[in-house]
Amino acid sequence: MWRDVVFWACAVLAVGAAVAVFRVDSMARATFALLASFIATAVTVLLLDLAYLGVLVVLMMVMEMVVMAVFMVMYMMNPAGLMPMTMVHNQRGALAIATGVFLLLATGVLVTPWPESAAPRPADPARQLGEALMGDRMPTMIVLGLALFATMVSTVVLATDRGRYDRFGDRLDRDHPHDPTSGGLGR
Amino acid sequence: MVETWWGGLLLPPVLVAFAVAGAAFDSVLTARAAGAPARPLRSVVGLLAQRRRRTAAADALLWRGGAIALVVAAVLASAATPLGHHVVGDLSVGVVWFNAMEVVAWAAVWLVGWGSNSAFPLVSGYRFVAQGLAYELPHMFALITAALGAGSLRVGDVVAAQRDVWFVVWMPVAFLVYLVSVPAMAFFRPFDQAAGADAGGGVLAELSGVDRLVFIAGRWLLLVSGAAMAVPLFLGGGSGPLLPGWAWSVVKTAAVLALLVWAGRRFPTIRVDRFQEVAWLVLLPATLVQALFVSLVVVAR
Amino acid sequence: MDLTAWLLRRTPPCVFVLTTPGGDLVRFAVERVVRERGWRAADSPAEANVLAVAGPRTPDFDQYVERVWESMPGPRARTHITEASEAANALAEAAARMRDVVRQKADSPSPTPRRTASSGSDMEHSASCADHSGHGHHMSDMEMPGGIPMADRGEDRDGLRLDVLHVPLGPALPHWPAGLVVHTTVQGDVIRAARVELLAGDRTSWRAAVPGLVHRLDHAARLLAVAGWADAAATGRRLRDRAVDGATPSGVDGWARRVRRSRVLRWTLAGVGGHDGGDALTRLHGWLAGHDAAVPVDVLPDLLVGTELAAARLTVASLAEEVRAGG
Repeated sequence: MWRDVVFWACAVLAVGAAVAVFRVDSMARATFALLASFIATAVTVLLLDLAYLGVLVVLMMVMEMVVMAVFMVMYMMNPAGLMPMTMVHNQRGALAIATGVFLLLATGVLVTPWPESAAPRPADPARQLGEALMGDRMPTMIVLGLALFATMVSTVVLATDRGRYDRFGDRLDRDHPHDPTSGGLGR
Repeated sequence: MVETWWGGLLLPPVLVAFAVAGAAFDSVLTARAAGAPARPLRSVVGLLAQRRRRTAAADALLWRGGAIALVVAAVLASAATPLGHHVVGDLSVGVVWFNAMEVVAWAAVWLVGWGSNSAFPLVSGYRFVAQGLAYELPHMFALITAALGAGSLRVGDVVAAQRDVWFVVWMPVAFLVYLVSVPAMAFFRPFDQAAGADAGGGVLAELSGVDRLVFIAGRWLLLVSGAAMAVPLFLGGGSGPLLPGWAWSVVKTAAVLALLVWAGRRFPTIRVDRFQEVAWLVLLPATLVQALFVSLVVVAR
Repeated sequence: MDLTAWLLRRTPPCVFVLTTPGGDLVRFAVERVVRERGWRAADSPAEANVLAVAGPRTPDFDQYVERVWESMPGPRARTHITEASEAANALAEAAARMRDVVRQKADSPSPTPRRTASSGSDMEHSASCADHSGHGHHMSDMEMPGGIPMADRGEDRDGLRLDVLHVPLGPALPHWPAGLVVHTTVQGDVIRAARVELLAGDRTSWRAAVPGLVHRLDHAARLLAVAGWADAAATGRRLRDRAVDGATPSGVDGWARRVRRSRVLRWTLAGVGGHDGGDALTRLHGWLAGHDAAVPVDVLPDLLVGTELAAARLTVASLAEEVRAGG
C-alpha cells in the first residue's frame, strides 16, 4: 500500500519537475528541476529494492547536475533568467518526436507480456539484475568500460588548449610549468 | 545492529548536541586566541534576533532551498551511522548512502552562492565545486577501502569486521585521507575557502538572521556526520572495554570532532588552486595503493 | 514576555569596521575593544549589527558608509569614531542603541533593496559594499528587469568567450587598506583588468605617531587574516595593541617563529604577488624580521591582472605598507 503511495507521489514529482525544466527561464532552476526529477526517479528504483542502484543514481546525479550547472551558466548569455527567455526550441518538431517516443514506449509497456512469478524476491535484487544484464558478458563489459574511459581521456587531451609542450616548453625542459595558476605542487 | 523507529526521532537531537558542543569548543578556542572571555553560542541568539534580508534580483527559492538542503542532507547522512548497536537504518548500502547524502553539499553550497546574486558568494560557490572535484575521489576511495576490508557496504558489517583489529591499524592512509576530506566536504577550516574571510565570508556573505543560522547549522551538522562516520568505518564502532557501546561511539565521535576543530585552527586556509594537485597527484594514488593493499590482504585471507 | 526584547538584550555586538583614509589608529582601538570584550568582527555587512566608521571625516567617504548601512539588516546601530580614545565609549553606546527595542522597531530597513539602474546591481553592491559609479559606462543602454544590466562578454585566459563583470574591491572590505579602491574587471574570479583609486584623505601623518613595529605587526596580521589563519592573526593584533601603548610586547618572537615555521603558510603564499624578486611570503618574512620594503602602488594593477580573487586579496594584503608609499 505505502509503496503505491510513494510510487505515485514520486512519479508525479518526477514528471512535474521534468515539465518545470522547460517552463523556468533560469539555467540554475532548470538544472535543479532536472535534479529533482532524477531524485524522484531514484526513489522509484529504491522501491524495487535496488538499493545500490537507487542510491547511486542520487550520488551520480547530484554531482553531474552541479557540474552541468557550472557549464550551462558558463555558456549561456542569460543564465539567471533576468531576461525573458524560453527553454524550448523547434517546438513542432520536438512535440512530434516526444509524442512519438512516448507512444512507442507506452505501447511497449502495455503489450509486453510481463512474466508473473510466485517465487519470492531474491535477497539481493541488484546482484540478480547485474547477472541478468551482464552474466557471461562480463569481460566484454569490462573492456567496454575501459574503452569508455580511454575515450573520455583522449577527448580531453584533444580538446585541451594547452598541452605539455605549452606548459613545459618545446623541449619539455622547464622545471616548473608555465601555468596561469600553480596547482600546488608545481607539476 | 538494532534498528528502532524512535532512532529516527533521536538522530536529529543527537547530531545537534554534537554540533552545539563542537561550536562551543570552537568559540572557546577563538576566545582564547583573542584573550577574551568565552561566550559560546551567544551568536545564535544574535542570529535569531537579526532580520532576514534580500538582495536585488536574488533567486530566493534556490537561495533558501540550498540552505535547507544542506541541513536535511547532513542529518540524513547519519541515518546509517550506528551509535553503539543502535542505528536508524542499517542499509545494505550504508556506505554509499552516506556518500550520496554528503555529496548533496555540492549542490547546496553552490545554490546558496548562486541564489544571492552577488559576486563574492557566487565566486565562493564555484570555489566549493572545485574543492569537491579535488577531495571527492580520494574520499570515495577511502570509503571503498573500508568497505573492501569488510567485504560489504553495510556499515554494520564494517563494524563487525573490526572485532579483532580496527581498520585504522591496517588502513592508516585511508583513515588520514578520510580525516582530510571531512573538513573539506563541510568547507570547514582549513578547507574553508568557500566561506573565506577574503571574500567577505564567501557563500555566507549575504546571509543574515535565520537564513544564516540554518546554513551554519547545516555546516556543523555535516562536519559532525563526517566525524561520526569515521568511528564505524575505521575506529571499531562501539567496541571498547567497560563502557556500553553507545558511550564508546559518543566518546570516539567527540574525539574525532574535537581533533578536527582543533587541528583546523592550526593552519591557514588551504586554497583550492593549491590543493588540487595534492589531491589528484598525492592523495588519489595513495588511496589507490591503500585499496590495492587491502584487496590483496582480503584475497590472501 | 517580549521575545524580541529578550533576544535583543542578549545579542552580542558584531561590528563591521569601515576605516577612512588615515584612520588606522582608530581602527586599532576599535578592533581592540571588539576583541577584548569578546564581540565579533563582521566579514560582511549582512552579518553585522554595529557599523563603526573609524578615522577622520573625509568628504568622499559618506557614500560608502551609506551603502554599507543600507545593506545591514538590523537590529543595527552606527557610530563614527574619530579619536582612538573615544572608541570604547562610542562602541558601548552604539551597542546599547543596537539593543534598544523601541529604536530598533522604529528602524525598519527596507526588506527589498532598491532596484533602479542608478543603484546598480547587487552584484557590485555586496562585493565591495561600495562603488556603483564605476560600471554604468561599460554597459549597454538597455534596461533590464531588476535594473541589472547584462554582463559584457570577452575572451578569457583559456580562449573562451565568457561574461565580464565590473566589481570594485574596497574600500568597505575587512582586512583591506584604508581608502583603497581597486576597480576590477573579472571573469568568474579571474581579474582581467584593474584600476587603482586612492580616496582623498591624509593617509600618512598618523604613521609617525606609533613605532614601526606597530605597522609591521598590523600588516602581518592582516595578511594572515586574508590567508585564513584567524588565530595567528588574532595573536598578531594583540601584540600590535600592546606595541601601540609603547611597550615592546614579549610574545613577538615566539609568534614570529610560529608564523615563519608554518609549512602550509609558506606553501600557500609562495609565488603570490611576485614583484622584483619577492612575493607575499618574502614580504611577510620581511615584516617579521623588521624590514619595511616599499613597492610603489602603481605596480598593483600589473600584479593583479591574471590572478584569481584569493591571490589578488593576498597580493593587496602583502603590499599594505606599499600602498602608503604610493599614496
